[in-house]
Amino acid sequence: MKAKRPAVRVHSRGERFRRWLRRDPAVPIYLIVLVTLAVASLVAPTFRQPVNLVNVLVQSVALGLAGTAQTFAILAGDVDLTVGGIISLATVAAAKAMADTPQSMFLVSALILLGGGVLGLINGFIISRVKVESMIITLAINAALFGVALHFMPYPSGMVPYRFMTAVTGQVGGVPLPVLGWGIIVVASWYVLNRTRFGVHLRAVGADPEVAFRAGIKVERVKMAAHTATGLLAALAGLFLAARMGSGDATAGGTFGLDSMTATIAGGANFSSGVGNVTGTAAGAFLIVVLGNIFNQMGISTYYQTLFKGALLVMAVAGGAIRKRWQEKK
Amino acid sequence: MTASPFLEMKGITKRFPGVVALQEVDFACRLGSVHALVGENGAGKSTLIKVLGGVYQPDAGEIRLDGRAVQINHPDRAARLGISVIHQELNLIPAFTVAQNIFLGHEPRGPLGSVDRRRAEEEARRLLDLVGVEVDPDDLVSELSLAQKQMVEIARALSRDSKVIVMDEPTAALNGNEVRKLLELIRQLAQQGRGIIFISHRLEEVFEVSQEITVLRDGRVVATRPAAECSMELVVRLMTGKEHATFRIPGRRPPGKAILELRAFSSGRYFQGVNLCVREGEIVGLIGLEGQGQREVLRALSGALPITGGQVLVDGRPCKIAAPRDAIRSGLAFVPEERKSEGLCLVRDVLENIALPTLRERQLGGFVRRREERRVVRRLVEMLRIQPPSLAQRTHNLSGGNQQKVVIAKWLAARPRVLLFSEPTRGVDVGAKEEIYQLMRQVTDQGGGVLMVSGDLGEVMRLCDRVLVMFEGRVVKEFPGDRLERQALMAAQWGMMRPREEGAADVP
Ligand SMILES: Nc1ncnc2c1ncn2[C@@H]1O[C@H](COP(=O)(O)OP(=O)(O)OP(=O)(O)O)[C@@H](O)[C@H]1O
Ligand SMILES: [Mg+2]
Repeated sequence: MKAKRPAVRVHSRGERFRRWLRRDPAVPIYLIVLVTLAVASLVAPTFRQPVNLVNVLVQSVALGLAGTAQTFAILAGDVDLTVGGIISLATVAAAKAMADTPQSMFLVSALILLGGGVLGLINGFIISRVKVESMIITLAINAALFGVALHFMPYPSGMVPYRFMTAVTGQVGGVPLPVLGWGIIVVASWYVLNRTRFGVHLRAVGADPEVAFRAGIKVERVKMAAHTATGLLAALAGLFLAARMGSGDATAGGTFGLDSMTATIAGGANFSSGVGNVTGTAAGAFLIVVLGNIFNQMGISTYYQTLFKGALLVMAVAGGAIRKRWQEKK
Repeated sequence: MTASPFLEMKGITKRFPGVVALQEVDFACRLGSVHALVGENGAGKSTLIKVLGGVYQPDAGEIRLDGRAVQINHPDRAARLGISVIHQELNLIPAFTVAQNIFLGHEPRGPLGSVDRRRAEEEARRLLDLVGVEVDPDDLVSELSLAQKQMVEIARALSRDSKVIVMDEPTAALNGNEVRKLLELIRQLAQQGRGIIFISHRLEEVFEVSQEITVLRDGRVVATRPAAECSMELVVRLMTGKEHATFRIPGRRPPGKAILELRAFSSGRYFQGVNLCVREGEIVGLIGLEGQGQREVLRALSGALPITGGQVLVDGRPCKIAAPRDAIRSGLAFVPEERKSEGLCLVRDVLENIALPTLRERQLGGFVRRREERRVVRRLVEMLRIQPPSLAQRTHNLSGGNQQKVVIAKWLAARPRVLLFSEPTRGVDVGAKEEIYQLMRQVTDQGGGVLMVSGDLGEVMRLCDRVLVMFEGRVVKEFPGDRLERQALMAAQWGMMRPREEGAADVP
């Protein structure tokens, strides 16, 4: 006779670790980042100097924020290419409208964030209610946003108040503020996406909208909220970029649409399975910037860097697919 | 008995482009009882419960709950009104854990909008124990077997503590033992004062568990009767207008030379040293309790599982099967039991799905001979009575049973030497069952062979020329086709294979 054993299973720490290794889709990117850092430190002594490392981190913030934005959209099963357009528009708005008073800085920043959120909401509305392919509609809207930005600012110009620049790009206790802010955003987003009911619903919608619907989830609402978060975070990235550049630039967001996607996918998130997380995306963004930094030090032209980023996206997508197949085999 | 039933659906009509799926259907369910819904494939059963569950909006009709008219415009609304639905298709997210799936859409709330994961896990564990499945709440659903996934769906339906629980073919993926446990659970739920709506093609189950039976045909209610006043024959006649068959379906030609031979065939821990042979004109059944390796034998032959030892001979020639391609080339066609996910391209139409594996045969210099293709496919659609009989219908829109028929048609079109068939009639209605049996016989009468795995002993006894019983990865017993008795087969499945006990098996 087989006694019925209770279904309770105790997980030792080692078991949990192995489980994490197996399940977290971001594990490969963590390893790749570590290996890259190790190799770069060995071959280029200048690279491992603390100044340079901090510098690379600060450089990663804009893409890191854009990637976090994109992760919301991708985990919800869509893609949002307006991230670039929103960033451009945000830099233009900041450079044009911000005056050198705390009130103005605060108000304009808030309005820019609000504007990003509203644009995201509109994206989400069109995608979920009108039911059009997110890739196509956001590509179109993105073109329109660039057009608007160029209309107001045909060439880089304007001035972001100096105090705004120093406030945003300053340090506390040796830690650069942008890096700190990025960290907070990543942790908060991680909590929202991985621990809250909303986050679970969002990933369920991305994995299978029909299953989510039948489970009683309001699919349209969740999608709109996800895109709103994307728009808001994209605007935040734009605001930060304006402070860093000190001016507005309608082409500033140019590469961010694709790069944020690359960072997210390289970070292990997946269009249609509901897995992925923002820490992976952060690692992905960091990797892209680190490699750019290394290439610059080696004197490799940006043309090849673009080629390389394309290749990275292809590898990330293929790698994710291979990993998935490999796991299904077992 | 209460005056009016707790749930009433009145005059429900639902149209899809080109099809009237439901026409003025009246249906009711009392608390404390089990109401079965039966009908052929495409009769409208799933559509009716999708209307009840808020997945579809009816074109006409009203739903009353406890006497009040209600509008069920979203699955969430149905859940809040106390209606839980287990749909025919699995509705789980593979990358989520069991606990996450069970509570999807109504997660226990923690602080700051979070999910109270500890409570979800504890509750999930309790529910899984209740349905009697040994999985951990923290396991990923993608790691579970089909039967376990089905049990998780059942646990999920119980998690809401609903008044009305609807189960659309919950037993299709379960083996005999699991079915028995589920029926027991259903009885308990009814005793607790819930109303259960139960859909199944296995009439034995329907009669075992339900108090009332409603028969649907072509989107209309043919009859609603107390189960005690019905016989199986009557229900089959109501469903199909035909008689219920139990006789044997013999082949027309005596077994010829061996077409498929396995020698010491092994695959890792799944099964070892399997010797068997399928001869021309033969249907060989491979049976056993769940997990004894019988399904894996078919999967290994189809190239989906690695073969770790032994030999496969087709028509006397040794074959190497490392991938599905090799199996097809050797003349082996495999029809898996999880037909929807493994065998269909849901967004394509019926014609394309059926024609796909045999494209090569009908091509001429790189072009497909369309007319020939339509002719072949149309013949299969008619033979299997696929409803609606249109070649241009997207398979996504077919009823569950008709999707199965499309997959079967697709492999029949390949005219294989040996058809490897897992659960040939799972989820298929009584009428189509007979058609499928006839088709399997056609394969053997034309000199082919069939190797089938089935959990339905009735079907094994009616069809097989020889039955092999597997236990713990080995073939332990063989029965000739004219000596098939239910008791003996069951005893052998349970591992009691000494010949003396065969006679004793029918003593309770
Ligand atoms: N979304 C849809 N679009 C078009 N037709 C549909 C759709 N859903 C169902 N149908 C059609 O409605 C009819 C009833 O289908 P339904 O799924 O209710 O059958 P069923 O009784 O559950 O059959 P089965 O036993 O095969 O599951 C079928 O003819 C089917 O093709
Ligand atoms: Mg159905």
